[in-house]
Amino acid sequence: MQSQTGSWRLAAVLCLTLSSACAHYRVQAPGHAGAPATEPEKEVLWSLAWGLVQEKPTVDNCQGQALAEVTQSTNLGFALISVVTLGIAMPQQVEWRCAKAQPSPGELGSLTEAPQEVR
Amino acid sequence: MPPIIHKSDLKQWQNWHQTYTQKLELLVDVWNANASQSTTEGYADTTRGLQGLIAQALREGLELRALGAGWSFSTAPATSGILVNTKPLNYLFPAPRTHPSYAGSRENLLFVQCGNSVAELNHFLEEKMGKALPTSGASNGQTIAGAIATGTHGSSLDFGAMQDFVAGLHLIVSPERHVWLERASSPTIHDDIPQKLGAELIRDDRLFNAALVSLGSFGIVHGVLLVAEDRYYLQAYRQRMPLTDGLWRAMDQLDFSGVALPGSAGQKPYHLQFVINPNDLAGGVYVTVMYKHAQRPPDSRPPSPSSKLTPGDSALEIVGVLTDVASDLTIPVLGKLLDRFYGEFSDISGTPGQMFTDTTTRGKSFGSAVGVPLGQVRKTVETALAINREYAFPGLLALRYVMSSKATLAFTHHDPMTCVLDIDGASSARTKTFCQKVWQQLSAQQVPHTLHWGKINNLDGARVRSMYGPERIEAWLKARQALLTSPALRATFSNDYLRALGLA
Ligand SMILES: Cc1cc2nc3c(=O)[nH]c(=O)nc-3n(C[C@H](O)[C@H](O)[C@H](O)COP(=O)(O)OP(=O)(O)OC[C@H]3O[C@@H](n4cnc5c(N)ncnc54)[C@H](O)[C@@H]3O)c2cc1C
Repeated sequence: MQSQTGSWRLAAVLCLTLSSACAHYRVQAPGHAGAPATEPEKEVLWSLAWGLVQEKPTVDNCQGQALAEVTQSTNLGFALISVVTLGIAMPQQVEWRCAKAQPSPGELGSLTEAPQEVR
Repeated sequence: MPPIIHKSDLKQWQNWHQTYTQKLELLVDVWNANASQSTTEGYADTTRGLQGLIAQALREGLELRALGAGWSFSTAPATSGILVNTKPLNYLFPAPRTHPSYAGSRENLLFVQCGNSVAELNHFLEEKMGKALPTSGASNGQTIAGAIATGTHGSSLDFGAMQDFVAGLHLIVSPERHVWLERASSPTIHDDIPQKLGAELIRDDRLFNAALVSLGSFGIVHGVLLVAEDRYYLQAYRQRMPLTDGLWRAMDQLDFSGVALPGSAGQKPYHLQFVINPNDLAGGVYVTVMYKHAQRPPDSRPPSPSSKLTPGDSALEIVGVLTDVASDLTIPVLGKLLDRFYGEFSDISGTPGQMFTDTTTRGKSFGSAVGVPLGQVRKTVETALAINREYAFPGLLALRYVMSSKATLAFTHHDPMTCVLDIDGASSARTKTFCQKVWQQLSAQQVPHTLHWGKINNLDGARVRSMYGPERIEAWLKARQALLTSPALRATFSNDYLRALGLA
């Protein structure tokens, strides 16, 4: 089973590289929340047995911040795999960028912090 | 607490508009340990974290480069070594203590960490401080450090480029040394502040002016001290006007005597830009004018939040929207889409942050920009139009104006003003060839010109020297040597782009 998943993955990666025709769906948080803090990380995710088994992306780079945007892409190769397997295996690529933190402002040498003259 | 340095698995990196892919050794995201509260201690810890990365690069013999938003079309931010993503670094410190001789208002000062985007700064300044930036690019997703590193400009007739509102730089130049740089001629920060950050204070006009437009090659800019002004409003009009002699004079010399600018009523424009569709001259030139007011003009409408383009958007944003809509941007398609998305309007007003917003477009567009002095504008545009008659390209020309910048390598240094001719189109071989033909013709006709460092420019050492003259180049190189004191440090902060420019 493991090696079968491995070859499916290989096929998917091949399709991904070979196929230039891609459809993208991007969801971006509105306004400032949509400003990205990171470069896009991506994973190919598999939905197996008509969605009974669904992989989840491992988002480990956002340091507690929200996602700024998520892009789901598919291509000819992925579509072929889905059709040939009659939907048993449906790959898709998910790409995400993390949102920025919104820090409260700090003080850089406020007047009250000025060194006191000691006599 | 040390910052969080997240090592990405990515082994290659693409710029925002995906015009190139760069293989690299390591991409790291740097986050302040406590990302939710700006503190001097946290800032100082992050300085040490960044110094650790420089030490790693030196140890492993790798190049290192700070990455902003990756909005540059040129390979200025690219490296085969360690790419340091600074976007998560967005601490803000309003109104820092000033030098006793500083004549300006302390309330106008804002010290910010390098990764703040210009849009974030607009929001903070306008909403929390009642202030505004004197100028910005047409869209504002760049980080502040990335924007000034290539000399990003807008089109304010009374102001220079973005680096011209910078009064201080906190620059990390080695694993052991970081400096606070400002001009000796205008000390701004209180001496205590650099001391508090552990930075060496250097007041030197020559070094400061060189380090502003650094192309990422003077070390890591960790913090930037900005001088803002009171919040203001821009009242905007756009009209398509026939290309008459009067309009040519306005474009060439900012002589408005032969033309009635939209909404003018005797006021002087603060912001002005012309967008020309070279394949539809008969339809006229899109003239966008904005007038500056302390208060929002009564009865004026705010910009529509749902429209794809904002009043401040220029040719690149238009092309971005159009290439998002149609991946194959042909000349007829461009004309049709332009009519649909870039219409005339009158009396729309907002703060600079409302008029010049962030953009979400990703289309494969191509941006280039030529800077020429006033008086050479007509010749430059006519050259581009003549080339387009022989070799039509699906794109737009835009003209924007910038007062002469003090930065040593500002491409907007032409005196007293630089007119920037943007040539923007779909990213295609045709657009590239078109630009090359324009650059070649300008050189052949001996039109003094410079090219935007952050856009496509295909420059080499000889052309850089002929554009800037040996004095500016030597001053920049000497300043770099004074700050990056060893050959190993200079090699670390070099990349292919810098070497191609003859500036490594
Ligand atoms: C949609 C769009 C609109 C644009 N509009 C305009 C415009 O109106 N006017 C204009 O002049 N330009 C414009 N540009 C060009 C853009 O402003 C510049 O290329 C700018 O430098 C990009 O900033 P960035 O934050 O993306 O920096 P990057 O592209 O990531 O980097 C640019 C340079 O800055 C350096 N850098 C970044 N951060 C640091 C740091 N912390 N320390 C040291 N060096 C650093 C990098 O190493 C690199 O050399 C536009 C580009 C796009 C894509």
